[in-house]
Amino acid sequence: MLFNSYIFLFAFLPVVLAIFFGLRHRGLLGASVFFLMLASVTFYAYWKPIDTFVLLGTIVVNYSLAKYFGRVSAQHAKWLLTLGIAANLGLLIYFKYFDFLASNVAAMLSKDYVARGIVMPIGISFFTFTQLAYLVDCYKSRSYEAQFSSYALFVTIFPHLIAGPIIHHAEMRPQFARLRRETFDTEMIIMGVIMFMIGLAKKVLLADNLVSGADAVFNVADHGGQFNAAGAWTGALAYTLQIYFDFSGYSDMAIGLALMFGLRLPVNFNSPYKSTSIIDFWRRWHITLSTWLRDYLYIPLGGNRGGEWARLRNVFITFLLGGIWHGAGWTFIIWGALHGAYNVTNHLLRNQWPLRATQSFRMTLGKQVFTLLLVIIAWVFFRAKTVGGALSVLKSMALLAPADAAPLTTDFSLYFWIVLAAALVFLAPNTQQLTQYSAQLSEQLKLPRMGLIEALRRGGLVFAPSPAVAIICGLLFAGALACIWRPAIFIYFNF
Amino acid sequence: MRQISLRKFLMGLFATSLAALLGMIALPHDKYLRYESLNDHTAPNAYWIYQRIHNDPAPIDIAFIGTSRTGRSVNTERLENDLAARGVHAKAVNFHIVKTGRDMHYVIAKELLTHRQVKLLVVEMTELEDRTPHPDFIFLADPQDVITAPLFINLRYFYNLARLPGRQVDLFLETHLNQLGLRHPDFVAPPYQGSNLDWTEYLDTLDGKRHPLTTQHSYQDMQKIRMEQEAAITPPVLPKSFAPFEFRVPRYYIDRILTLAKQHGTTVVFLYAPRYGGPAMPPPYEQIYAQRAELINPQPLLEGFQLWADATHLNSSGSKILTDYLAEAIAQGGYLH
Repeated sequence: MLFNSYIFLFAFLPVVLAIFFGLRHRGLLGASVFFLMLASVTFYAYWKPIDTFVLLGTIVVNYSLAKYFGRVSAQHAKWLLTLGIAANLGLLIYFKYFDFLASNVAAMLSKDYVARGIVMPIGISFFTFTQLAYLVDCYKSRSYEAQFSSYALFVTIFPHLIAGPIIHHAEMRPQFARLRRETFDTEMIIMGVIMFMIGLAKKVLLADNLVSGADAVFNVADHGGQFNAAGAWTGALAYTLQIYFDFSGYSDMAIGLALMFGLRLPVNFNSPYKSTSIIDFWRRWHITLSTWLRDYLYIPLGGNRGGEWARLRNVFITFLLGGIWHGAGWTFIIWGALHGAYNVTNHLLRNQWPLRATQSFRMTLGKQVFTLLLVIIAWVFFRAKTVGGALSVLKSMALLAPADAAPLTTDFSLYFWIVLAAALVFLAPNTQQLTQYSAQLSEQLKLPRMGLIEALRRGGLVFAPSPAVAIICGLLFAGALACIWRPAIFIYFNF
Repeated sequence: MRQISLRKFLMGLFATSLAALLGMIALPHDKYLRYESLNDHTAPNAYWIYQRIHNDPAPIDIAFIGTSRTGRSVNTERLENDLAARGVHAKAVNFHIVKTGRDMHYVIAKELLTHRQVKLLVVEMTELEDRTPHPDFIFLADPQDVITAPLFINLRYFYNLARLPGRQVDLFLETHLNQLGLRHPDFVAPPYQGSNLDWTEYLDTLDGKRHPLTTQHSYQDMQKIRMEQEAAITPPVLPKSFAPFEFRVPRYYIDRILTLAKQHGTTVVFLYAPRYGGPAMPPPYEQIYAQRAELINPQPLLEGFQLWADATHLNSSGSKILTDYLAEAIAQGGYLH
């Protein structure tokens, strides 16, 4: 079930909210939390019921393994952890990479391989990483979640289940406990509704209207065609903006939905295209994945403990594996390797010329543009289905296309959406700034108390629970409803 | 600054959404673009239907409304010649549209009868009522027809209603982009194909290819095809007493077509377009419509397996037999006087 579908908006969500709050209204707080878990499993089963067995199977196995960490010797616990990691990664490799690996091995051995056409369960990359982190954390702390339903809710809670943000048990456990014993402020619900509407509009009004531009260029390039420089740049820019609004829209919706149920999910985006370096970019783009890779891959690889070259090697390996995590294909491997190389270079440059405390506007702008250029180049590999297709687009972008390369004929509306999306990326505040959302449980969630006019006068923009914001959200919702008849899956559902 | 409660916030949000959606539905547009937008088939004809009704001054004395069965059965040029040979001079037009759904037949009939003077409207009748609405109704229907479509039992009502604001916005923008010369549509309709668009001899597909419709099968193959088609038929799901609900959509729209025709002084007859091996008389006609309009029934002439391209479509030989019979029936029936 997509968040941007009629069935979700007009059936699943209202029914689940009604039952959830109905139970809480009657004082059945624990039951409401248990119901949320059941609703989340139903949400997942709607895609393909058979895949629910894979999800539930991993939950049972990981829950059981973690339970034994504290009951066995350190040596046995280590064995159990290794077994758990192998089982989780084995499942991921089988569903996601088997055909890719087998076809490449067969090609190396000059043998034929008929792909098995294994269809991976949706969200497997996300729920595998969530549970791997849980296993490692439990192993380190020798503690575990005692209640199976709580653990199942932690893994399955529907706002994050399919495409993140990747959450940690330590972040969610106290929230589930509080949800079981306390009611929560309706302000959280309003903030949730606002964030959901912003996310829905990002996805449906912006990302989905950019699809045609990206598809037109990359689909042709993947089949051997070539556009002129303007066409290739249009396609690359359309995709750069599409993936941002698609994924950040999803993340906003996920956070908004969680808030409606009294839960806070971590922030996943922080205006990444305003980054002044690649290192900065990865602190702002898909933050929960970057953090996961740092904590559970980079640091276990040795982090910066073995000297500068070992650090750079670990950085490169982390990004390479991050690329592979996104999908089975050489384009993802190249994308990961490119970002690895960018980061290594960035670290080397930073060693040579440390960051200055203050920088001129022109310098900052130059760095932002250069960083974005590197990111766009990498996105070309990420979007293309073939390496040849990506190289063809890049060649055109570098003004190296043949003189007879076709221009991109497209509706004027595509350029309108590109300009609008770019203006919002570079000039508008992000969702956290608009709502003053914080994932820190120590910080009280309070919507801004400033009116729109007052905020604009102060040079900012905030979304408070005012009639004006209700009207803005209503307009966003109406605009989204008018567009969601087109079936458009989230890009990150493929990973 | 005024803070509001959750309830008021949500009420404000939904009220604004509703008002905005109604505003979108009210947006005007060039109706031709609506007909041009229905182009996802191999050989679309909706744009031609619009052009024939609105841009071609040639009279429309006899109009055929139906599915591809009608499209593959009635050769209007042959019919005109047959009628002329019998001393009846009339222009006939086949306004069939592929896929089943009586709501679509109403949309075409409404567009036709409100803009042209038609003497005889020939409406397809089949051996089974199509309980489901037409999947492409939302492409062509006027907003008020989408909103006022019967709700029970109409499995596409909410989908169509939800799709309507977006369609109106798209068409509004396309209309204005067109006027400014900034629209680059994915589909451009071919030049007007003349007053008679025939689908009985050849099928001209969008890729520029012409496919002769002369397919014939052996007797054994046709039996197999017939059995497969019969196996795919879903019999009534609800008890007989609930038939008015189960078949509400087709009955509602046929009723509206008959009423509309009456208002415009147009005679209506049903044309039985049977399937291969189908019943001698269409049960829906016998049970419901016999008192409302006459039926032209060519079924006894179409029993030969050589006349069929598949289980529900005649080949060119079959269409010739049906068209000749039709000319005789129209001339004899005196419907054009």
